[in-house]
Amino acid sequence: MNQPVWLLMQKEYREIWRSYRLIWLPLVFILLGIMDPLTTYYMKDILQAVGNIPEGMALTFPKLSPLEVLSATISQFQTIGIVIVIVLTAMMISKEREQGAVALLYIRPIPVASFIWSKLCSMLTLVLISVCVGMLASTYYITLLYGAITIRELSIAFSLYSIWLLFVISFALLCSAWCKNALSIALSVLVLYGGIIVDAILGQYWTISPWKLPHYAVGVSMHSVELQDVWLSIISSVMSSVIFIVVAMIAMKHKKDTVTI
Amino acid sequence: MEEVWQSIPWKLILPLIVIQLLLMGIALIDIKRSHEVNGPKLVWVLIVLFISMLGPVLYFILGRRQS
Repeated sequence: MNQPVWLLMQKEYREIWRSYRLIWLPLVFILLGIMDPLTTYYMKDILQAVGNIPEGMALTFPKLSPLEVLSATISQFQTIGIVIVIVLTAMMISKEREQGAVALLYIRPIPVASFIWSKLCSMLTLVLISVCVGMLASTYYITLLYGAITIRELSIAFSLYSIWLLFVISFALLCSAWCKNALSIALSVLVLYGGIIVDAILGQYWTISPWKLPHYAVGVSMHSVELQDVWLSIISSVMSSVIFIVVAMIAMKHKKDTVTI
Repeated sequence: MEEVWQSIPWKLILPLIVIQLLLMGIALIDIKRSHEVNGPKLVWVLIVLFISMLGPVLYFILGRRQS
């Protein structure tokens, strides 16, 4: 029983290497990570160079603390990076199904659970590596330009953000196991990204939700949030991720029964 | 002009440029090597060259055909 998991995982890891994903996704996150510290630091110069500011206008910029810049980096990840992650994950199973590669799964007696599991593990590894190098790059620039961030603050931010990523990936995987390719992408972007927007607009009315975790990632170190809310958000995200994965396995199994070759 | 050139913090910006070029390079090599892509190759080359950062990402997600 143990063997198919390893075989499938090897296949998945080979796939993320061969599709260059293991190279370009970390690079993109590094870019996103260093863009924000740089632009906020040189904002004054950038505005003066291209902004058509009238002569003699005095611009004052608030002095940002290192943690505030780290939080800006995370929101940068949240705008572009997360969309890439969602789309990549949402295509994982449904695209293979469209291309017929999954038919192999239906013919051979591979347990559905190990199939979903291998997809989840490979995607999670890929995304966590990317976000980790992105945050490290960002921290390097923040340390150069603004001031030090302690390892403790950085690891708290990374851990909380990883739990959010687990939530995102398991939901997108569920969509992928359940729907057709285009629908899967649309649904997961709508729910996950829509949730981010809803949380940004109306978020002050609730304190516990998976969508809050990216704020809490830095908020904990800034002492601006209640620890109880953070724990409850973590628990709710982990529990819903588990539910999503189980439902994904059930959906996959159900498709297996209905598929005709 | 030289003053402007000197005032740019190259040490900080250089990694940014290198990574952009790396992404671009990988995408271009892959376009050249792959047998078939989704859509005309020339359009992808232009997208990769002229849309910074997102161009290569778009190609890797949409343009690439998995074998």
